[in-house]
Amino acid sequence: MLQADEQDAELTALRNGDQQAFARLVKQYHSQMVVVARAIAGDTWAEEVTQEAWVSIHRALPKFEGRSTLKTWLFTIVKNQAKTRRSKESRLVSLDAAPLGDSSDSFAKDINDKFRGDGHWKEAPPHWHTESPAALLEEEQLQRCIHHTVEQLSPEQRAVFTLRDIQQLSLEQICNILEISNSNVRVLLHRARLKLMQVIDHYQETGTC
Amino acid sequence: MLSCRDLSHHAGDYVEKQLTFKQRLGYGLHLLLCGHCRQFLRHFRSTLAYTKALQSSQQISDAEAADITQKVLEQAKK
Repeated sequence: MLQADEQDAELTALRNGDQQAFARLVKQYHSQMVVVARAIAGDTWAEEVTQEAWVSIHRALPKFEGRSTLKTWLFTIVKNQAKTRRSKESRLVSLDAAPLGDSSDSFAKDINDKFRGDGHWKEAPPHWHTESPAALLEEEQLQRCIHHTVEQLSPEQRAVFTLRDIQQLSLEQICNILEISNSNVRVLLHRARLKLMQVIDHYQETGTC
Repeated sequence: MLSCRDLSHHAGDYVEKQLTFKQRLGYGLHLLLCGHCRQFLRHFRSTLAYTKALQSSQQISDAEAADITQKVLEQAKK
C-alpha cells in the first residue's frame, strides 16, 4: 500500500503521461477491471472492453481532478465502457433482473439445511484446525481451491466480491458501478462469502477441494 | 431473539457494522449465549481476512502490464 505522498507522486506521474506509472496502474487493476466488465458486458467482451477502458483512461488521466478516488474513477470508466458495449451488442438484460448468481435455489437450500426448523444449528459448524488467516495462506492446495471457486462464481457475485472484499469499495459505490440495488449487492456478497467459507470448511475436514 | 439462521444471514452486516444499535445488541446477546455462532462468526471473519489477503495479491505480471500499456499507447495515438 502506497503512502499518501507516494500516491500523490504516482498520480502526478500518471497525469504527466509517465508510461511506467501507467503500466503499474494496469498491473494493479487490470484483472479486477476485467471482472467488472465481465459482469456488465459478458464474458465475450470483457477483455476487449477493459482494453478500450484503458485507452479512455489514458486519454482522460491528464484531466483527472480527483473528485473521486482514482480507483472509483477507473471502475466507473470500465463500467461505462461495458454498458456501451452491452447496448451495442443488444445484451439489454439489466443485472438487477438477473438471478442472484445461482442457477437454482440449491445453494440457499444447502445453507438452510444447516438449521433446524426453529432456526438453530442442526450441528456445530465444522471444526477448523487452522483458523488464522496467516496460517491458511500457507496452505497451497487451499489457495488453488479458493481460486477455482472464485472463478466459478457467477460474474455478478464475482464482481461484487471483488469490489467489496478485495477493493474495499463501499456498498453504495458498488451499487453505482454495477447498477444493482443495495439489497441485491448484499445477497450476492453474502452468498459469495459463504461459498468461499464452505470451501475452507470442506478443506479443513478432508484436505481436498 | 435472533435465531442462529438469522445470525448467519446477517454476519456480513454485523462484521461491517451495518446493523442498527438495537440489532447489534441482539446479535451480541446471541453470541454471548451461543458457542456454535461464535465459532461460525470466527470462521466467517477468518474467511474474509484470508480471501482479502489472497486475492489482493492476484495481479497480472509485469510483462502482461507492459504489453497492455504498449497496446494502449498505440491505440491512443490513432
